[in-house]
Amino acid sequence: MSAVTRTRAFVVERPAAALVAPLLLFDLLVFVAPFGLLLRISLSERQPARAYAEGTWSTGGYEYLLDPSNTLASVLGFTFAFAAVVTVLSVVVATLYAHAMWRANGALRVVLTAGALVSMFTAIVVKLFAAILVISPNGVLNTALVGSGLLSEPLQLVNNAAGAVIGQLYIVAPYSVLAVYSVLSTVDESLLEAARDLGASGPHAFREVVIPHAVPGMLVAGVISFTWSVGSYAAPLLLGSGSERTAGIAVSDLLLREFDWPAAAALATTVTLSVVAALVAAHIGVSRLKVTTDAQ
Amino acid sequence: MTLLKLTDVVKRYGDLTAVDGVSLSVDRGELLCLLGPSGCGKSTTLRTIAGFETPEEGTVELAGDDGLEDVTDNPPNERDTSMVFQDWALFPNKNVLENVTFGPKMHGVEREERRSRAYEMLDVVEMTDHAEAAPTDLSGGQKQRIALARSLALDPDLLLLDEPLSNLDRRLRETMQLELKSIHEQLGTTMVYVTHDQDEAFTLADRIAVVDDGAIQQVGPPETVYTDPDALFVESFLGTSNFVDARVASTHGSRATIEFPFASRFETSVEDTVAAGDEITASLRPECLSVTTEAVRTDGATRSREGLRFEATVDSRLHRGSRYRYELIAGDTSLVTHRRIADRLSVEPGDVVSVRCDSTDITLFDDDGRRIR
Repeated sequence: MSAVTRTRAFVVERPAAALVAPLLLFDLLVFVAPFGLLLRISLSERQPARAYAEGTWSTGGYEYLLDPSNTLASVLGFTFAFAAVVTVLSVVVATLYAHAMWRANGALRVVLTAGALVSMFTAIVVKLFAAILVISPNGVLNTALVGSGLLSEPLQLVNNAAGAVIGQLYIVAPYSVLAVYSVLSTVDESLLEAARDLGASGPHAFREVVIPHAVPGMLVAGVISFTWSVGSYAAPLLLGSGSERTAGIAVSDLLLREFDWPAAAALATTVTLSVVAALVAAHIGVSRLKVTTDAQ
Repeated sequence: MTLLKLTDVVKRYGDLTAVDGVSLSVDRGELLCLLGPSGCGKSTTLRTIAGFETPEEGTVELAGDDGLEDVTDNPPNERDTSMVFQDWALFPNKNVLENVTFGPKMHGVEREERRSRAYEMLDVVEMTDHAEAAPTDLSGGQKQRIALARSLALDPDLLLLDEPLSNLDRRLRETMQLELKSIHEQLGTTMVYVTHDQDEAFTLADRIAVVDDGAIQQVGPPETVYTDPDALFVESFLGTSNFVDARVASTHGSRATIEFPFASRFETSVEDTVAAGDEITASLRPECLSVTTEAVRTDGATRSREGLRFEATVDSRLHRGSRYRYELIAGDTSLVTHRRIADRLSVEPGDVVSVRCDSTDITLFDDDGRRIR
């Protein structure tokens, strides 16, 4: 049997597997293989002279993570706290923004949609420098606030945690907006009218009709924001101070400055596995939640 | 006692005037049908009553504790009205019971009380067994019942129904019409019901308001609207009729001689706005044409005081379920009449027949569609 006939037989007999195959192959090539390599490096001996000792086995990289003499444990803690804050803000902002987009008509809707899309199409570094121009003490926002007499002193929004959060939010929020909007746009507007007609005030109708419908979109927005923010690098680097050190920054430092590849790989692996664990936990939590609401 | 009063309501969307000066009052306990073709403004009128639209001009008043209160600017949640939507608009994330308890919940009714009230209403619409079901699992007719129960659970002063049965198949629609009528009799809730289906309006309504072009053409009990229309539109919209272009041959005071294109004329009293030479439209209801095979006896008497008599040729005969539809040609005019199977005419296409129509069954309208007789 030739390779061609064998392939054809496979496609005919198992069309689903055949359709998924290219994707699996791609995944294998760009994710599984590099991640395997990463795992392997993380389990090599650390060697100050070289990046890592090839062919050796050691848990030195992981032990270094737990070494109290460095700050990596607190880096991990900060990373997850940072990601959690950004995620919550991102979902809240996205839900309100998407709701405004959905309720708006004509020109306003176009403007709001463009606002989300244009920011998505802009390169991250450009976006972050633009953010600095707006929110720095001499930036547009502070000049306006102080100039109009609303504030006596400019707000400190760069070189601190607030700056890092704003920068990261600026990166992930547009994706969250689109995730929530895609779900909201399927809400039948007569449902809102029905709620209003049955005596619900505006905020009540939003809570009772819009939010339950938007939950799947909000979950997607949350997952996007969280996974992205756990791996954040540029925003905390450019808009944060030295103490806003995320895992991404720490990995980069270990790789490029300290030339300690096993420790860098160990940190990267730990972060990745933690994210996967967090997503699985969230998934289980959500399905539990669904079961209990259904039972009521 | 008046429950709802609309005064000169005007609603515009840009250049389009959807509602053009509607005035209407509805008594407590009444079921009023707004009947008209698509796009005539009847749904917009209903949405204005519910509070989804704010009229540019005019007022909406609802009976309150101290007589009528102006609610024109009140939002929907501050009016004691409830609407049954055309697509029912059941909340997909809530089960049937939660849908029905929603209204009372928003009004701060205690959990136990709102549940018992919901069950009471589910009982009225015979859906108690489906209390735990998801709306998405229900059939169209069942969704319709739930939407009705959801609105009724509020015990609203005024129930608004926006073509609630138009998405159902014909048989189900007829069943639901009768059920709605019995629910109305049972609960006595005042209802304003929008429909484009005249059968539905005649089945349900205490009074019918015929709407066209954003304005109410005529309001009255079903029989009056049907037999005594004020306008050509009302006559043409309610059932089928034969419209014949006629001419006023001469007038003597309030009496006029009307000339028909099929060389027949009759004399009658008309409104005094009519002048000789006016082009008018006569409506001859199909059920009022009597057809015989005898020749028209009165020779020069194609002119008669009692009504119209003329000769026509049978052009076609169509079997339509329980009745036959005959098409007759008189001169250049085509006329339609029908007979039940048992009363069918013993005529074949091509036969010459004599047709009679009593003068009391002929309605006349002037150029602008106003009734002149």
